[in-house]
Amino acid sequence: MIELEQVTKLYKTVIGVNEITLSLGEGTYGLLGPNGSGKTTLINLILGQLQPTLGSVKLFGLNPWRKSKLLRQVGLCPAMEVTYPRVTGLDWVTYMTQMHGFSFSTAEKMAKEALEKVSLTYAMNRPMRNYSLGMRQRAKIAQAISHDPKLLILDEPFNGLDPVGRFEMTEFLKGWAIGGKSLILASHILHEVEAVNPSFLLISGGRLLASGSPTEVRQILADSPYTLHIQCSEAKKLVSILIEQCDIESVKFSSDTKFEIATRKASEIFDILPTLIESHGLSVSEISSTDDSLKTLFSTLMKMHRGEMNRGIGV
Amino acid sequence: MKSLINSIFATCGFELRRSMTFQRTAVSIVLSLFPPTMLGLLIFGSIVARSRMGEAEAATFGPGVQEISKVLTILMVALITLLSLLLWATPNVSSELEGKSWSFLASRPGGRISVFLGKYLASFLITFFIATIAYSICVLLCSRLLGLYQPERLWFSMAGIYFLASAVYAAVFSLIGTIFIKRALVFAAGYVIGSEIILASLPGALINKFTIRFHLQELGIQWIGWFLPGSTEAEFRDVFGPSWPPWIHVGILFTIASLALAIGSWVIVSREYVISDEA
Repeated sequence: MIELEQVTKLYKTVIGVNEITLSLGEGTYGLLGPNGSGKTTLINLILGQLQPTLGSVKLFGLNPWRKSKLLRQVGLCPAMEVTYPRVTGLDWVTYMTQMHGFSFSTAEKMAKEALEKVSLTYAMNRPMRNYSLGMRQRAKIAQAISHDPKLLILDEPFNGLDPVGRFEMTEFLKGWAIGGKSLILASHILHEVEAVNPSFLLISGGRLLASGSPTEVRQILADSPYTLHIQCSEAKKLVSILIEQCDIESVKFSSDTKFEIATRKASEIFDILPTLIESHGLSVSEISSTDDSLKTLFSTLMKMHRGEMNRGIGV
Repeated sequence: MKSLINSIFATCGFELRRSMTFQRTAVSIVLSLFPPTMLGLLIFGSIVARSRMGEAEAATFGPGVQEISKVLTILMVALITLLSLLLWATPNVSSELEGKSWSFLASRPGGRISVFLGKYLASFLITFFIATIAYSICVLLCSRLLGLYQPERLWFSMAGIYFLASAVYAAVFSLIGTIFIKRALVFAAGYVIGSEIILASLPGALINKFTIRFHLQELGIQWIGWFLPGSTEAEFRDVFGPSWPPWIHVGILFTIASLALAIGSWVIVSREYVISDEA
């Protein structure tokens, strides 16, 4: 479906993406990376909106640059906000569908169906300035799916959504994936992408650092160096037990009841800790980590990339 | 091809519907009423002046006012045509990039060309509509208050000239909009001043024949009759050369518009437009 061969994109002297080679068949993919990592540039290269400085891109077997007919098979939901405040959701989605070459009546019918799929029928005749962020996101999804594309590309679809909106978005995306159509979901938040259970493409600094299944990514996270902050009534006792039973790299006390431990096997500690607390009658009031999962993941991948760690998953 | 035409008309229709806001309608009304207001003031001033003249003086005064009114109408409508096109045609790409809607439009098959040609069509229709209201009221004022001879001839001539002017200038401004993303309005205004005012006024130079104004002016002279103040047609011909048949001027204007649209379509399809957030 998508093939990139040694693709580099430069914006004058700034690197957008750097020597990316990948081949994606039909399926569900999570394009993960921090803000500014090159996700949107990669999407624009795939869609032929940008021309690679070096290398080649193929979408459905063809170079997408200046072959806009290929876009008939693709639905794009960009990260950008919709900026037509006075236009109704139905008018906008109809217009976007007409831009695929459909007549007004056909496009309007397709737009209504798409708006129904994203549960926005009740508000489709309202001007979009009256929409909440979640409603605008759903309108954006509707314009991307109204023409029934083979491949749906979503750039940061969870941005600004409340928990209910996130849940609904996740359910919609799961449904799309189950329907046998392809999906590329770009995000900088791991657990949101994880919920759709895709294969991962991990990008940072314009480079594809790794690709793999959810299990492989979880494994790499589990094996990453982790710093845990623990507050316990008997901190010294808990530390001595943990040192005996777990693989601890270092311990640092910040007070009599607070300490932090560095470990490569955080998952092991999370598994054993409830048993230890119960069997030794300890009282743990707080466990936290300064690292969020994606930060840890990318930090580990960067170390692997620089050869400071062994590679865990395919690059 | 059929789907591209659908997309172009869809963009045009969407832009026309979007233009029905209070702000944009107010701008259109102000533009269309500006020439009749100026003309009305001129006619009112002339009526007041004539009331203070003797009969013999007033008899020679009347035709002079008619001629000045005709010139004022032509110049004022030309001015609002250019202003309207600067507002509607020039920001064709920059408004979508600034509004962040470019990604949605460009990810459609033929989306880029549809945006270019659809917006061109919309800007042409809006401008021609504004110009038509303006010159229609002006011709009506001239006819009713100054007793203009054959007002329908003037109306049809102006309809033809402003139809061509709107179509050709809209194409050129749209082309400028695709090339200069930042400060497109400044470049378009620079083009008007540099080419359509300075170059077109150079006496005897071949280069003024490459300006749009030259051909519109020639058509005006042939269709409306001699209207330029301060000289005679014979003097004008001595400086700017003999007149050509109207079809040559129309053909040249048609060619300029077609070339501008073809080059603009090529530019918009071939160029990477990067929204600032993406870089």
